[in-house]
Amino acid sequence: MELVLSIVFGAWFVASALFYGYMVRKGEKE
Amino acid sequence: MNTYLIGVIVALIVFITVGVIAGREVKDTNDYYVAGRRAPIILIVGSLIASFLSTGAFLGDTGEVYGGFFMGIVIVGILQASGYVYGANLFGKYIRRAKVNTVPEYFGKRFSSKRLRMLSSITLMFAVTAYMLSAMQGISTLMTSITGLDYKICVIIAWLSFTIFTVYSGSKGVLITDTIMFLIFLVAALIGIPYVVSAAGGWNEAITSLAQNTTRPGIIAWTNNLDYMYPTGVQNLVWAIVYGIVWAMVVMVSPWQTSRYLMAKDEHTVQRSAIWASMGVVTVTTALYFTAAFIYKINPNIESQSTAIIWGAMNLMPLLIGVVMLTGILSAGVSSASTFLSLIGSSLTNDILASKQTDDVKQNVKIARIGMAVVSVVVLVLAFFNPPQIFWIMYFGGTVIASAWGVVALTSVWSRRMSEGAAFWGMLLGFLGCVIPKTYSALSGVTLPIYLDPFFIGIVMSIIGMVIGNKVKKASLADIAEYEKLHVRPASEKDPEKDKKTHNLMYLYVVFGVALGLFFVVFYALPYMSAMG
Repeated sequence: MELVLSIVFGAWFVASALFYGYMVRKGEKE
Repeated sequence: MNTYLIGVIVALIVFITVGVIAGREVKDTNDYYVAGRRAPIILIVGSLIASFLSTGAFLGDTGEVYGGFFMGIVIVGILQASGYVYGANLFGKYIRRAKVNTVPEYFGKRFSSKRLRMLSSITLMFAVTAYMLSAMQGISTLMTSITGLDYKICVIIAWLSFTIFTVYSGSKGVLITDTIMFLIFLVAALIGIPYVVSAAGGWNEAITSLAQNTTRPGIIAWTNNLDYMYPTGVQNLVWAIVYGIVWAMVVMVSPWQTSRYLMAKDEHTVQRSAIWASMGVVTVTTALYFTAAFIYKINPNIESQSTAIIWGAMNLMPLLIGVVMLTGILSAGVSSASTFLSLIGSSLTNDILASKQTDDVKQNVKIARIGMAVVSVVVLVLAFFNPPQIFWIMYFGGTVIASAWGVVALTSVWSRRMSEGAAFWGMLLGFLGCVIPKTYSALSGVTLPIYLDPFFIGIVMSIIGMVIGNKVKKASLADIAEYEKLHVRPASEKDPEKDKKTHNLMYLYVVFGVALGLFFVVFYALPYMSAMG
C-alpha cells in the first residue's frame, strides 16, 4: 500500500498538469 | 540573551523596516488594497505560499506527524498543494478580471448584491480571525519556547511584529515581506534536514527504525498509528483524503489565497504563479514532515508534540542553522498573520463599511489604515484570552471557508443560470452547516464519524441552499450579463508568446510530478517495505 500511495502521489500531479495545460488552451479561445 | 532570541529579534526588525519602507510607496487605496495590480510572479508566489503555510504547518502538522500520523498528513499535503492549479484556472483568473479590491466585492459585483457582499465579508472575518488566532498562538508558543518569557507577553510581541507594517503599508508591504519570509522558511525547511538525518543514523536507518517502531507502531505506515485518531487504517485514509480535499478547496477559493491573484499584473501571472506555488508548498511540507518523523526516531519523549521541530532546531542542528530554522518558523507565522490582518481590515472598510472613495486620495488611505488598526486591536484582545491549541483552531477556520465558499465560488464562475438567491443561500447554509456541527463537536467532546464531518454537512447544505435559492429567484439578465463578461478574455491578455510560455509550464509540472512520485518510491516505500520484510 505504501508503494501504491507513492505512485498515486506522482500520478495525481501529472493529471493536474494535464488539467492545467487543457485550461490554458481553453482560456486562449475565450 | 540567547542567540536564538537575537536571530528572532533581528528578523522582526528587518520585516518591520522593509514593510514600512514599502508603505511609503502607497499612494492610493488601489496600492493599499491590491498593491496597484502590478505584482510579478515572484511576489505572488511568495505571498501565496507565505499566507498559506503558517505555524500550523511548521508546528501543528509536524506535531501530528510526530504523534504518529505521518502518511495522513502527507496525503493532506499532496492534495492541498495541487489545489493551486485548480483554483487559479477555475476561480482566481476570473476574479482578477472583475477588477475588485476584495473577494467579497467580487461576489457582490457578480450578482449585484449588497447582502451577498456583506455575508461573504462576515464569513471571511469569522474564518480568517480563527485562522489568524492560530498563527498568533504559534508565534507566541515559539517565542515562549525560545525566550522563556510569559506567553501573554509573547502574544503582544507577536502582534506588534506584524501589525505595525501591515496597518501602514497594506497589501503593498505584505506582498514584499511575505516573499522575504517565504524565502527564509523555504531555506529553513531544507537546511535542517541533513543534520536531523545524520542524528537519526542516516536516511535508511531512520526509515527502518520508524517502520519497525514498537512504541508508536505504524507511525510511518499507510495506516498511521491506530491509537492516534481512528482505530483502522481505512478510516485514517478516508480522513486524510477528506481533509486533503478540504484544504485543496481552501487553496482554491479562500480569501487568503485568491486575494493574491487580484494583485497579479496579468492573468498569465495568475496561472504561472499557481504552478510555482504548488511545487513550493509540496517541497516545504514534505521536507518538514520527514524531519518531524525523524525527530521522533531520535527523541520519542518530547512532551508537547507541536514543539518537536523547535526541539530539533535547538538540539540537533548547529547554532546558526537552528537560528535560521526558528526564524523560518517565525516567518511562516508572521507572514500569514500579516495577510490575515490585511484581509480583515480591507474587508471591513471596503465591504462592511463600504467607505465611499472621496477625491482626497490621502484621506481614503487614512480611512483604510484606521479600519485596519481597529481590527488589529480587536484581534489582540481575542488572542490575549485564547488558549494555545494551534491545530484545532486552524482546521476550524479552513473548513468553514471551504464549506461556505467552495461550491458557491466555483459555480459563480461556471454557471450561467446561477442566481443571487442561489449564491446567498448556498453561502449561508454552507457556513451554518459547518459551524453548528463543528461547535457542537468541540463543546460536547463528541467526535463525529468521518462521513458526518462538518465539511461534508456544510457542502451538502450549501448545495441544497443553492438549489432552493435558484428555484425561488432565477438568474436575472444582469446576472447573466456579469457571467458573460467574466468569460471574455481582455485584449491585453492576448499575446501568443506569453500563451506559449504559460502553456509550457505544464511540462515542468509533469516532470515535478514524476520526480515527486519517484522520491516517495525510492526514499519511503522501498526502504519501508525492505524493513518490513
